[in-house]
Amino acid sequence: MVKPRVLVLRVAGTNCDQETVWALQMAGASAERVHLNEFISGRKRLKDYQALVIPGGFSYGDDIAAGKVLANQLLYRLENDLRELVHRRKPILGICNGFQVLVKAGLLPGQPPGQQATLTWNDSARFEDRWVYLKVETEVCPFVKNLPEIIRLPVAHAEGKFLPANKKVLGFLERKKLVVFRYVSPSGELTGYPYNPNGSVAGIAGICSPDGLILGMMPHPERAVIRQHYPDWLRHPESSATAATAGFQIFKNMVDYLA
Amino acid sequence: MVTSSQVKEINLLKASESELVALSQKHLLSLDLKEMKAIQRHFQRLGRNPTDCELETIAQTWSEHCVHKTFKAVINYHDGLEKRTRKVVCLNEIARVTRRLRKRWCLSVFQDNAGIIEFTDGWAVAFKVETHNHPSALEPYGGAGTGVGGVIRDILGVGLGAKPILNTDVFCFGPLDFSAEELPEGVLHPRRIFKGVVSGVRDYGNRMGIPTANGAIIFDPGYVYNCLVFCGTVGIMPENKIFKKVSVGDLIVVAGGRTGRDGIHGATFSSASLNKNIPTSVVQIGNPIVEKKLLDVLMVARDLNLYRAITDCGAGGLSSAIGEMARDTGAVVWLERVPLKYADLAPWEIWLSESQERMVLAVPPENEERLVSLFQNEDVEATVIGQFTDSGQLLLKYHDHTVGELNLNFLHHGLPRRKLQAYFHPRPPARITPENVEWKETLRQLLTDPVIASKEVVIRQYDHEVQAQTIIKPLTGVEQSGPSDAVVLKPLAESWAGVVVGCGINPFYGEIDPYAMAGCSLEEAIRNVVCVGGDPFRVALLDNFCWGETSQPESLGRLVRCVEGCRDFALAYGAPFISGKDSLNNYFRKEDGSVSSIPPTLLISALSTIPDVRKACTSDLKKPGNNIYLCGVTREEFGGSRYYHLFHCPGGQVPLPRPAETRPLMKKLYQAIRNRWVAACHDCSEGGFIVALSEMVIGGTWGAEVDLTKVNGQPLKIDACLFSESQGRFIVEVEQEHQEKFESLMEGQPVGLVGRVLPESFLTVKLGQEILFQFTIQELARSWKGAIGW
Amino acid sequence: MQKLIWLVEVFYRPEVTDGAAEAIRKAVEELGISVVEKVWTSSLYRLEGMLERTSIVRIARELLTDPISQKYRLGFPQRPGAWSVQVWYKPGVTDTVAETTQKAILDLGINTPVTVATGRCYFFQGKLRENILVSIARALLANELIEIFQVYQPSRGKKNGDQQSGKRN
Repeated sequence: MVKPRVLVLRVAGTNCDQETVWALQMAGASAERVHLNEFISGRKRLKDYQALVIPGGFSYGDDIAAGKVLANQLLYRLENDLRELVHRRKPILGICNGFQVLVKAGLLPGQPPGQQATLTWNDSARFEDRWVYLKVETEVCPFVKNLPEIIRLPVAHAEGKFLPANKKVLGFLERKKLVVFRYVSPSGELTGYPYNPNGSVAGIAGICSPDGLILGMMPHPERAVIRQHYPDWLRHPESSATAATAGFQIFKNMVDYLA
Repeated sequence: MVTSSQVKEINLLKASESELVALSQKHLLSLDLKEMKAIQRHFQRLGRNPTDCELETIAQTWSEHCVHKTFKAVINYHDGLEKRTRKVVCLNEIARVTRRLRKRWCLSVFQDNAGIIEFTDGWAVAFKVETHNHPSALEPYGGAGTGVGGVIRDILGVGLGAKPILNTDVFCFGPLDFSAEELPEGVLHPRRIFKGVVSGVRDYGNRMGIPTANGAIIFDPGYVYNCLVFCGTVGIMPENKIFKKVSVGDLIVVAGGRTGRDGIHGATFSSASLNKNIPTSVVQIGNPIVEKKLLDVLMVARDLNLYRAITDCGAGGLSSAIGEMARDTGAVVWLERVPLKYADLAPWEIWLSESQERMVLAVPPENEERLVSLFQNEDVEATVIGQFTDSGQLLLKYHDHTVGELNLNFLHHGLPRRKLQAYFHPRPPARITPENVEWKETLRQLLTDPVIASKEVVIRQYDHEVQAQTIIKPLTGVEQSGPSDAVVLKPLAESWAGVVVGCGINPFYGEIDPYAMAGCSLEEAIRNVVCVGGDPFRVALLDNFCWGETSQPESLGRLVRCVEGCRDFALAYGAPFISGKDSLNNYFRKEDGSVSSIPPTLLISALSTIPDVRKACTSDLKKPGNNIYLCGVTREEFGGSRYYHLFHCPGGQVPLPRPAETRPLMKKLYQAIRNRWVAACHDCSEGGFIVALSEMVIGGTWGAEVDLTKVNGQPLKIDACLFSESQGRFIVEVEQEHQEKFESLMEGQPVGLVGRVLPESFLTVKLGQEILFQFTIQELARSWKGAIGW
Repeated sequence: MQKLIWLVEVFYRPEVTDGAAEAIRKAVEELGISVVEKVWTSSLYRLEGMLERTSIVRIARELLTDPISQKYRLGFPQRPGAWSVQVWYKPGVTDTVAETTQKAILDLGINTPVTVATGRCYFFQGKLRENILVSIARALLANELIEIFQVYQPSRGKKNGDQQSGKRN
């Protein structure tokens, strides 16, 4: 079987690219880290890849606002290539900074056109790294199937508070079941800090496009692909449920979809 | 010599002694008379005056920061304990340990930007810890950030470059509630320094994509005027990339950020005392993304073998970097080619600037084009600014003018060795002891002591999981609110082998007994490694001394005493030093002329390995019914303890490590953890046994019951059992099914079965059958977690 | 056309939490100053170049402002009835956001050279006097080794320090 070719895009300040490549490789993909300049200069082409992952980090230092400058570069410098990727229904995954980029470039939710939401400063006004509980909505996005109802992943960001433009946008996301991940308490309830680490509206931690093929999420699946990534792995026997890690499952779903 | 209008000749040849001293002061050279006279003699032989470029280059190269004059000085040391005087060279004492231990896994020590040890399967790890104290006191955010940036560049510039995988951070601040009225003008409040420093480390480290996952924070009034900021970086590299060698004819390439007027005189400034008249140019703001781009492209260039040597631009800027690289060859530098931030820099400023985020490479001419275009493709500037020659001279050109020509032999070997005086007198033991102690209230107050209290509000601001390699994270337990003793990383996708990093610091001991402090810091760093399952017989150490006014013989005597402690205990634990750094003259001269010095401070960082990270261990209590053992011997050792601090009792017996007792215990523990018989392990440090146990309870959210009569030691008073800070002690949780095996392994060791993990939500402390006090887990957690706000 | 200096102020919409402002309000209280009732913050961008208003509006709207959570305004920043403190870097101090902004303007297809400087503005409402704001600024908002700050009275403009070139336009 030919391994699906996945692009892990990097720019100045990307910093989760290597581990994202490892996670994709573990899941059976052929993953490549490529600098954005290679595409802008035309030395490489987006259409040679079957999927695009925009990994976490601080693209351009998150100067001005997180993900903003890269979002503009995608819009103004790679518009046609990107549109073609979406048009040809190639999966796109944005993690953390990548999610911020997709939202600010208007690719998520993608309908209606233009930026419909944002990721703004955490209510605490500072960067925070912690593991969270997430309730998973599996109906629309193919990359989250076979996940338990509640999973755990780490978040590590300063600007992760999901804010829709208005009630209409929120209503659209809810109605179409595009809210893929929601911050919840261990028992699955919507609640406040620290379970909702940043004050996101409706606990929204990740959303997808109406066709489910563009997924953006603040939590880091690539940091939860082996059992020992979990912060309390020594508290649970080896045979327990964390054996199949949530992060690995998400990448595997993506690879399976491409195969 | 032709001199351009921008180059000044310094009139040195005919200067009198007092004029030499004045020259050193005027140009902020931080050179003493003897050194100035050596320079004068050198130029008298040449029959000409030096240029500003030359004099500044010598001053930078000879600065305390760059050559460690005090550590290399011959010290006439009078030891008040032995009642005799002998000659000591501090650096030799430290280096002797490594030489004598002859560990074959030490691959590169004390010669490069960082120490390097063998890791696994052809990989090596490098570790360096630096301080950035003065800049952080003045501009906490920028100072701490550039401190992080600087030590990362050390790792990028070790051998042919290592990939950073971990940052460590250790800070010493004044008390956060220090009265603002008592602060003199120009001194920032400890709270502002605390927030600024943490934010600076956070923003630089997080943007670089390096997990910051090990550290410590100390609070003491002694750090109000001079905070301490230690930044460390660990890197990983293939073993065949650990050495570099410049070839004659190689091009000198500067890569990364542009050069401005930033940080001029940083190296000489860092060796001077602080006062309120500080030039703006010494403080800087870093740009982590420039450094991140540099890191990304350097790793590619390294693996393509495009350069033969590399080093970072740190203190002294290009002058230090190129001066060091050209040590055995020679070099010509065309200063006008250095890319500038703005146009009006004088040649000496270009040469001395400490602008951040720059590296210098030695590139074979045939690789120039490939290297420059590779860098260009990633938006990193790389510019040829000179060439290595075989002249033994450092030739500085500026638009065809020669602005300096220095003999490299003189530059690196012409510095006269300092001769210093030092004496040490032990402090007489104090007689005051705490009275009418209420146990429960004392424990509560110790848990809220900022030195002991949870640092969660700081730790969570660091991305401690980026790179997805952090297997034992800095916070552990059910809700990740318990403390971890050390960090464990799994840096290779294809291997389960791990890197373990811990640290030890306790200036409170050093105030009374710097020798014991050295032993305690060193042992604590190793204990931390042992607690998480690291190999105690493969520990490499880094020393970072931060001292007050070392021109005072008494202060210098304490330093010598501390160095001898490092030597003796490192030998006893079989742990070689692989890198070290000292920051001296951390004192503040007040308006009235009085001097405030920091407490004698030693940070020991430990780097070890674990063959399989799946056999690591954490400190949180795991399961009700499990046994709780206290391993090691408890003694009445309260000197410098947080317990004595709480009751304002100065002096006392500082804990003394006993390697002969502790080493065999560590060996057995390492084995027990590897066998998976140990459910949790935590060492006793500040606050003693009961504080350590409380932390395990908080992490695990299980209760515990302990009986103090089971504590190992001479007939002990209750306060010694609870709060003594005796070294060599570990609290170990063992499942009942492993009890027999564990106890038989531990036969002959000082191990006491002191209690059990309980399903109830209480910590119960008993003396035999009598309950001394009880604490709910919530009470413990609230006290410990609520003490340090943001 | 001639070189112009524009000042763009970017601030959060009233319904969005301004965490930085809240942190400052808390820190002011910790200083023992209890007369501050409300704090707002905004980001300032000073752009210098041969830029027409249409270009500035594009830069402000498409680059500097998040359309969901923020708004922008051109010109001197003020709020009715509030004191303000502006903080800018001294010349020569690294301004990473300004460097990024300069490059990101090129992405918009605006190719004329633009020099950018960034600053911050803090608004304070309450029974205040200039010396209180100066001490707040010194203690919390600016480090005079690398930054300059200026205090402005409610609505009536400058009160302390030199004329700020950025407020022309």
